[in-house]
Amino acid sequence: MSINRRRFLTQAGLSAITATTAGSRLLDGGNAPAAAGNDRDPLGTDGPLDLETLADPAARLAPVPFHGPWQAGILTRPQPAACFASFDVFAGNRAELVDLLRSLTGVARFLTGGGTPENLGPTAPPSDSGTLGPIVPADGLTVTVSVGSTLFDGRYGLASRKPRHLKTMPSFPNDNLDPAQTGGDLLLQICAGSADTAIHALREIARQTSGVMQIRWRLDGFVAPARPSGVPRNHLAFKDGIANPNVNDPVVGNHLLWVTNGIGEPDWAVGGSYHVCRIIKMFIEFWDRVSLTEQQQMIGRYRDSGAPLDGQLESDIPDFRADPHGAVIPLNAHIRLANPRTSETDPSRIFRRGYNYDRGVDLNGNLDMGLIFNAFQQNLKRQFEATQRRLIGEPMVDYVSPVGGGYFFALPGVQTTQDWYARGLLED
Amino acid sequence: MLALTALSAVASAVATGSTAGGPRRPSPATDATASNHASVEPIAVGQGTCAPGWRAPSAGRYLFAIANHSSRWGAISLFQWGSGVVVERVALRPGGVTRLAAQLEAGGAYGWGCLLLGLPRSVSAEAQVPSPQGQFVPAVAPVSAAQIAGPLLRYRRYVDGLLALQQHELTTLHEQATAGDLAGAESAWLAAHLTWLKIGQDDGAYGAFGELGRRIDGTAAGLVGGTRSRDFTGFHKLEFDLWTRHDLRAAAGDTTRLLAMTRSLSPQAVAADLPLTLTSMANWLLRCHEILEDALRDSLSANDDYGSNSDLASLAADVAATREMLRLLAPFITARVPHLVATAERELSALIDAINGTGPDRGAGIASLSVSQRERVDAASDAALATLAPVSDEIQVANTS
Repeated sequence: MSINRRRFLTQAGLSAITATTAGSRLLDGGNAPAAAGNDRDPLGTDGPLDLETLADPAARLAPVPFHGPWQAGILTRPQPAACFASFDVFAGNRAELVDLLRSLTGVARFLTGGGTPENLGPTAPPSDSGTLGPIVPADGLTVTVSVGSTLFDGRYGLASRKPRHLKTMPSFPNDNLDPAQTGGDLLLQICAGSADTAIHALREIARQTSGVMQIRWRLDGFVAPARPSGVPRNHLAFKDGIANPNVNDPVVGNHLLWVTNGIGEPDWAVGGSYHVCRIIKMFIEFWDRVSLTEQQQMIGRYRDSGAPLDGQLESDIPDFRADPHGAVIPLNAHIRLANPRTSETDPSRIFRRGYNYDRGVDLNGNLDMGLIFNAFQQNLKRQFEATQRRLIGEPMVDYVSPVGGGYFFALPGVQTTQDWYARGLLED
Repeated sequence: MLALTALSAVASAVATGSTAGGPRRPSPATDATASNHASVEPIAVGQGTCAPGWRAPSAGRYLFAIANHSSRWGAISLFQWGSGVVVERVALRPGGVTRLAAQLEAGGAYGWGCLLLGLPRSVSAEAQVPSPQGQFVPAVAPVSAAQIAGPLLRYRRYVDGLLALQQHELTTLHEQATAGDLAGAESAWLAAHLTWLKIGQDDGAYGAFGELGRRIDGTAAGLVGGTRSRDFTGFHKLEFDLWTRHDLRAAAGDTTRLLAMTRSLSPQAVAADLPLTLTSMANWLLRCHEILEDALRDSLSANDDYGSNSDLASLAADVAATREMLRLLAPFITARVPHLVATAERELSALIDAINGTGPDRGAGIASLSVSQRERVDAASDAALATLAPVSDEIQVANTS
């Protein structure tokens, strides 16, 4: 066992951490004097420290409850910032895998609730990086843990417990998957009110666990503010996620989102959900050279309002039956293929929770940006794969290229303070 | 691509709603919707009437409330009077009121085209939007299918000539591979591949040759098993055989298969793949900029390199194909945008200069270029693309509302 792994095992759990009541202390307000004295040379004088300061560290977003029948970060309204990180696990045996998940649970439980990190004394490195200040704000943080099919190979004796449909994500005909950013044993979807909160959580998790799991790929995402209203826009400038099933309705949730009893899945998986995460690169320069009419015909919606081409408001439901030949919404428009709105295709609806990404420049000088397509569903085959097959060859494939991601299974929720991620899977 | 659906839309609009159920509720006219527009303009459609009394208001964005007084399903389109270019189109329900938002430009002339199921198409009067300076914006005449037929027939002959040349080059490749001459085979591959690129239909699924095009020049992307897939065939499989695996036996077999595929592209097959239909013409016009769009996406990103480092030579061949498109369409483009062809030619020359500036034989891999060499090539490509992109929108083939 490596030294690094030992360190993780001994520090696991963060049991000594004391949580504070949110808002019980105020950070110092930012109205520091402009300079030490008036007699100084103005070129050597500092500017005023009038940076925006949060009076309440948890103010940006309220804490999201960590415990529940299913994990937070699925029904949670998408927070503005996200880190997606996929890990390969190097635990030596099942016991070490249990330790890893218990440790992960402890870190996530603390960070999502916020509080004061443990003081390890003056000689040790601080227990928390401190990037969020001395008191860690919850800031709406959620840490959603999903497992990949590779975790169920021979290493940990889990083969017989694999969710029925979980497998390596296949390459669809228009995909261009890069193995270095595809797959992984464990996917963390970390979402929060601001980017530093999400990155802080990833950093704390990584340093507690890097001896037994390594980041295979990662990608940060953001949700744009409403422009000017309604559902946020993706990098193609179209509102993305308008047609999402109402999974907060338990009937819908139990048919489209959550694994339930009696559908042929292992007992431990009840309360979980199949998690499809795909890195879809967008060729936005090419897109920007296409006329608005053509863009709208490809999507099937008006760019500005988000309304379907046969409607006026983004909330209008397209009436494909009234337009059987595609006179108004072309038969191969994205919204028509993705969700034909028939009783036959309704059971294939997926619940999307996507994020935009933006990460630098490609070799050809194009901006490297796109969508972290992120969807949850009860049945991978009946829902995502059926939807994706309908979209093969749609006109939009010229402007996007799926380059990575994978199939995962979002674990059931951590129910109590004694519970931990994947306990049902790993305990006999 | 998109032109497919846009062009078929009018014809199919006649049948709109023929199998539909009962009438839909009219969309509520909310204040939120209306407040984004100057005002709501009523338009009436009935049996034998299409927007009677249509008079264009002043320039601006409008919300039209279109009342269908007939008991038939149908569609209405707002079009530019001279060119016939459709500005907006919406389906009509029997007895319903449908809202349509549209932008009217100063000096523009507009008409409505009404289609009601089972009735002949009717067209409103022409109405001119006043312009503040009293200027008249000249309408661009639409291009008829008959006018585009000439260039498209010439393009077919261009393709036939290159395919014949390519057969010779591939035969040489097969001879070199069989004789065990790796360098000779590589050089024959390069010649044959550049000839293929000069045709300008290289991007597989969206070129005129469809799935056959993908098998001739597609990459392993999207194939289960990647380069090990049996469906990985054609030029890039051969490139992989020669440069990466140095496997001349495999190359000989793959060349035989490629020869069979390209031989099936007889002049008759090319004619069938590029028919004289509106859809085919619209898709062909898109090649004016999409040849270079494909090069930007695949060659300049080195995504389709399997060892030959021929991305810059490929880009130069794509420029040649683009120039052929410009040559064939120059009269139509110049009639609409007078300086576009000259600008594009100048920018394509600058792109060739940038390619040649990277070193001898265009043989450097994209990733091995210096940052400034690569930036020069990228900038020149982007400049040409920005000029070429509007061509397919400017030339609308006889698409009257």
